[in-house]
Amino acid sequence: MNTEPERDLELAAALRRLEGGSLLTEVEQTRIQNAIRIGAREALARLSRTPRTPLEAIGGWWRAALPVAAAAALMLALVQPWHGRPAPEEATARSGLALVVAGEAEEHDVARAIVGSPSEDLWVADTGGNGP
Amino acid sequence: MGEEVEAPEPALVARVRAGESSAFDELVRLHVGRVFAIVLRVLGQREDAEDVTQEVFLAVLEKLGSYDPRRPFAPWLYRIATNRALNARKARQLRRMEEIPESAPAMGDTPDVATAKVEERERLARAMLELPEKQRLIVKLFELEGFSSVEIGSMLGMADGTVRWHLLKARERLRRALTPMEERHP
Repeated sequence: MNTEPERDLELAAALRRLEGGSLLTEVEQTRIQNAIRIGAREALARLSRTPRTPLEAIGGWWRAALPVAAAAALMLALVQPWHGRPAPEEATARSGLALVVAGEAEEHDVARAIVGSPSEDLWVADTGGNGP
Repeated sequence: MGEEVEAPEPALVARVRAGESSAFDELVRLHVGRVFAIVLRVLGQREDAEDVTQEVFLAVLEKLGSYDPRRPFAPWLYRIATNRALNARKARQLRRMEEIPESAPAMGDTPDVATAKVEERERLARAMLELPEKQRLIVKLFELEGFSSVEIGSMLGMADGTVRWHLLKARERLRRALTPMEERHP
């Protein structure tokens, strides 16, 4: 049982007479190939769109993401000067005012919240009290 | 066998995986004959075999992601073909294959020879029907299509030694059928 048996030519001939041949005619082959070609279109189109390796998949993602990221960075850079963080003094004054409104401010905080910071006093002093 | 179809396949398969339709056409052209032969031997009807052959190649396209390109392509393809054909046979409940084909004497034979041939054909057809399905398919793939026991084993998912055992059992029965009754019991 370990060696390949010889072909039984007589039996093969008798079986062929019974079963017929299996060779495709040219017409059959063309018909099958055309049908396969039509049926395979969608799957082949899908394959051509599918990345073949994880690296390609990441590469494809980056290729799409890069222009978006660059545009976002540019927008952020343009918008930044108009919407920068408030000046520390303004922020302090606002928080001072909030404390006054809430009734939790110290006395000097109340004064500062109403008349402004010492730097503003300095500006007022420099212009001789004729501010803009 | 002896068909030299293995060499171009790794490159062809890689191109098919990239969705190249001309590579797929070439792959089909290389294998359509063998796939049709396998399917025909399972189903017994050419029209049905044509349909299933198409299904096999479309299934190959869907399953290509699971194919390991380091292994030979043909056994993988033939296994898909065999499974598809066996499933189709079950699903379509093909009974036509099991009808004994009508015997017609060959032209030019004397009446005695023609009668002997018709009788032999009918005995062989009956003996084929009496074989277990597995043995029937093995003997057809081995004797008619020239596949080796290793190739058949790979198609049917069994050891080549088991294929050879089935083949010998099938041959014994078919050989008995080919021998006229009077020769067996003179």
